[in-house]
Amino acid sequence: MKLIYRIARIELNTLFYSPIAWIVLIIFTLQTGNKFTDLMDLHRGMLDRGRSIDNLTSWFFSWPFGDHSLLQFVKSNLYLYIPLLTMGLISRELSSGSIKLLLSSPVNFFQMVLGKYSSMVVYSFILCSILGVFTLAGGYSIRSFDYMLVLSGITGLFLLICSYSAIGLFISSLTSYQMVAAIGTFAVIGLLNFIDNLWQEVPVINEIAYWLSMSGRTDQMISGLISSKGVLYFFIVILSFITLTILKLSLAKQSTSLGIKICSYVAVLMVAITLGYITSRPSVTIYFDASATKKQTITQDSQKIVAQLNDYPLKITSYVNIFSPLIESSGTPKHHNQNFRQLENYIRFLPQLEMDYVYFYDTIPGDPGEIYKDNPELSEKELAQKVATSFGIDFKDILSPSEIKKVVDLSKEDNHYIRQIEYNGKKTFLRMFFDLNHYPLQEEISSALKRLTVDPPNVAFVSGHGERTLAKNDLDYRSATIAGATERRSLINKGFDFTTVTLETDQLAHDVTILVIADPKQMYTQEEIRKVKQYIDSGGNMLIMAEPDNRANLDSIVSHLGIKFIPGQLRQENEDFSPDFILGKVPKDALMLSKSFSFKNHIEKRYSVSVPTAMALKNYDNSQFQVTPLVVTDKKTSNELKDTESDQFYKLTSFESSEQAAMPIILALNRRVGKKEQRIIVAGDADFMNNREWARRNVSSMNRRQFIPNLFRWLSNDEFPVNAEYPPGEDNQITISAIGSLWFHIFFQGIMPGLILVFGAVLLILRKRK
Amino acid sequence: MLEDIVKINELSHKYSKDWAVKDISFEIKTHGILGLLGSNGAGKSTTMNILCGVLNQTKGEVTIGGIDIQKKPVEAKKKIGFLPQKAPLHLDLTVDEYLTHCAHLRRMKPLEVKPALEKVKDRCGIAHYSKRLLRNLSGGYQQRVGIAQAIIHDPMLVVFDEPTNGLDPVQIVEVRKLIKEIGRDRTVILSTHILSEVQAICDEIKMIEKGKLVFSGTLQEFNNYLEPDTLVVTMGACPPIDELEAIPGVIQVNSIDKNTLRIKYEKDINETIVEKSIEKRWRLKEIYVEKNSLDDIFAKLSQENL
Repeated sequence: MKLIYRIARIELNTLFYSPIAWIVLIIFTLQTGNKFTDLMDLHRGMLDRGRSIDNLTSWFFSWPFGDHSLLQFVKSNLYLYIPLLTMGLISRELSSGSIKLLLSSPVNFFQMVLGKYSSMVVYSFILCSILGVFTLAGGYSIRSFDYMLVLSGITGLFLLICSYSAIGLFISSLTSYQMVAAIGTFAVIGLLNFIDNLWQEVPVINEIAYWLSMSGRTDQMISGLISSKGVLYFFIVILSFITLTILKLSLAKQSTSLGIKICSYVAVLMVAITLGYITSRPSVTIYFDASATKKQTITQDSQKIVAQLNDYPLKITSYVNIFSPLIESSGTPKHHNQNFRQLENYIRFLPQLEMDYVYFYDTIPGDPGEIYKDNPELSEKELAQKVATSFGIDFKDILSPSEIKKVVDLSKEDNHYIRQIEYNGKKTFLRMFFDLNHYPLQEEISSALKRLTVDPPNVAFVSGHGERTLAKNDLDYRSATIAGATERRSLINKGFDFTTVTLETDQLAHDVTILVIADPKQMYTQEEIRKVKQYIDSGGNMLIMAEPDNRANLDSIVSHLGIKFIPGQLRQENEDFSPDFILGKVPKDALMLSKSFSFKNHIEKRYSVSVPTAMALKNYDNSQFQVTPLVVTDKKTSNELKDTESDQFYKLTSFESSEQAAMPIILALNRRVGKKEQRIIVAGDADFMNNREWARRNVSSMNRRQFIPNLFRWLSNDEFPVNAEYPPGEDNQITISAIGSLWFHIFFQGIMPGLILVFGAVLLILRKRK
Repeated sequence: MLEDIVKINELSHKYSKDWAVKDISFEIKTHGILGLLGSNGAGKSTTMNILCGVLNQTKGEVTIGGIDIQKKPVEAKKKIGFLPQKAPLHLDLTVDEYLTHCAHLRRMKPLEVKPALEKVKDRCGIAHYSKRLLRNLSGGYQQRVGIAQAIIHDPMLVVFDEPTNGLDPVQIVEVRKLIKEIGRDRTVILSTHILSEVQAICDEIKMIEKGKLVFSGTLQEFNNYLEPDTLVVTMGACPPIDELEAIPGVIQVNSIDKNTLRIKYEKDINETIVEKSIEKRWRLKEIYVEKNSLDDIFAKLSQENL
């Protein structure tokens, strides 16, 4: 051990008695300091301008996209520094002949190589210590700083530098030319970062290539998630390259045939890959989420769901239509590993999860894609053959339309690329989406998984009297309900089932979880009304949406709930829209719908709910239900009646002005019926969730993002959508002043690199004079 | 019975197809300087590298103080000091730093390092350069530091591979003197291809040619091979060759130019030639013994032993 220390010390001396180590330290400090102060200025500016930013620690240090955050920035530059430091470790000794001093001394290869490597570990530690200074500066300037998150990231970077160093050490042992060693190290590091893009379509090889890949390993730790397989990967890489170095030196000492040499190297790699394979198995992987918000772990709600799915195998089968536009980005065989990685947060808790792929071709209804337009002369089968060839998929493995229909019915899903989760005989779809992300996220995945453990909520839309439907028209509700692959936020992707019922013939079955009556154009019969009232009396949940013009058709039903539609139509003064476009206020009472942090945030930031052509409601008898206003009018809104002859509106004066300021438009009613809590929403508007409002982007409304999902969460008795939110981080304030920020500039861009420069220069000059 | 200091038994080594060293065997039992002679590429450095554990032999056995260097390399190497052809220096270190590092590499006890450092510096005449960077030393002094590192741990066996290579004449003399001094109390193996070096400092000589040991003996025995057998004479009036060849002891006479002849002889005939020259007025201007070149000896020994 002492000898290793001695060799490491002399190696460090050599390193620091040459300018390269100092230059790297100075550049590293300057670059990192520059980035840190940039981030400080950026976030201080944003906070000063009134923006609220949660998780400042993450934004500063670990934001995973691009080089935005400090640690990501450092990570992407490291490969430039390390080869310059490692290039001379052994090649210098080979070229100068000083290797013979070590070889003729009573030192074994292990001590020799480990000694040299240890010097790089110390250097890595010095680099990480500099990052430690920035961490302390972050801790000083950010309130409730998440030290553990940053520590996890720095640990990841430390392991990455150590791995780069081990690679550099090995390459340095291969040549007596330092420049060749540096270029070789660049190349190997590049290859190891890129290898997960190679041979991904070849089974087994893709597993090996994926495991060998370094990219993403550090990202996980920078994001705060430390996994045993990630840490062990670095250890295996480090040990492998140290072993290869020892092997190289010892083989060079004796005359060995090329075959034996190659076999020896291959044996080391095989052992490393085998160890890597074993340690990366989900069933033996241990995780630790170092972040304060635990954002790298699925939420408690999600964990409760997956805990119920551990008794049987869980299989996700991807049905990939090769005509789907999504296949290019996520459906070909080379994406299989990537797709598996997307689910890692779940595999952590569901190690038995398996993925399978079924390829097929079938017409995607609606607008034909470019592929059809570009090849009008080809039959569908010929087209499929052409596409299959272009993706390198054997056409024999692709099911025809008739064959896929025998396996699964995807007609309701428009034959899109879709996944199906299967557990203990139960199946549910998990969709891929036509948005930037393509992949289902936690809310969608957990909601789908939950459907396997409980009966999913059945939302039944009443039809037969001109009600709004689930169609694509502007005033209907397809986007919010059953849009599937085209709308991630659509409720069908959040665990809900949708059906249509007619009051005339159907009995309202027990499996209806939420009955929706939306703007009927004709009166219901007494029998139909009786059925609805019976449903209400039995404690069923409901969503009733009425429009001013057709309010009379629902009067008797809402009066059964103690609610009355106020005659007239709401009109709002607005420069940009017609007066019948109302932006309703969401009072804080609406928080009773959900504990969602985002919902609360939106309410606090006074986001509106758009309710075009709405009317106000009145609760005249509150003895049965507890009534809570969810959307109310603001001061600019008045209630006016329309003169049907002149088509002009005139203001109603039946309300006090104070009442006008907050007339309810949507109300929540709840009461206990037996053991169950009954939840009913009555809305004086049937447009807030129609396709037009869903697509609206020209006002800051929260209909789509928050209001509708939380409304349905409440109506489904908090079952769906599954809560996939994390509490906002407490590190949301920068406590230093502009002067403090200026001092950071002076220190990190001047004093700190300057001190290193002066110290290094003095040391080198004094040495040179000896 | 005393253990052999060095024992090499049927040592063979090949880098690729051909043998660089083949079936070399010898033993060293006493202190003193052993010259390992051989032309360039003869296998000297290979033998020395194997001896010092820098290379692993393909076949055969090497023991240092009774310890097999391949089986127990660490133990055996403690007994060795090695100065390769190119001194293994870390040029960015000072003399003290470097020698201290070498002492630690040789597993000296920490308390012994400082006294050994002072002693070796005195011995090698580098004490006044203790704090100087190695890169700032002259070639001769760098070589002295190289020698110092080889003996700092007081090894039983010191191996010098062409230690005067690249030095100027003054430095060569100094280094030879130092090596001779070192050889007084330990075994030194010195490889060289310079004949005068061998004659100047070696007690015993081994000669390797084309990977084989072709000579092993004392300096005296070696000198027998070097015994001169030709004279070069320059005369104002050269006699006919026949007349010279008629002198008893002369084997053959060749004319180099008009006035110069090379006389090959079998016994000392210098005086006879001088006397005859006076007597017969050959006007002898110059006479000298023509020494054998090392190449000639290598060739001769090779022919005899291969």
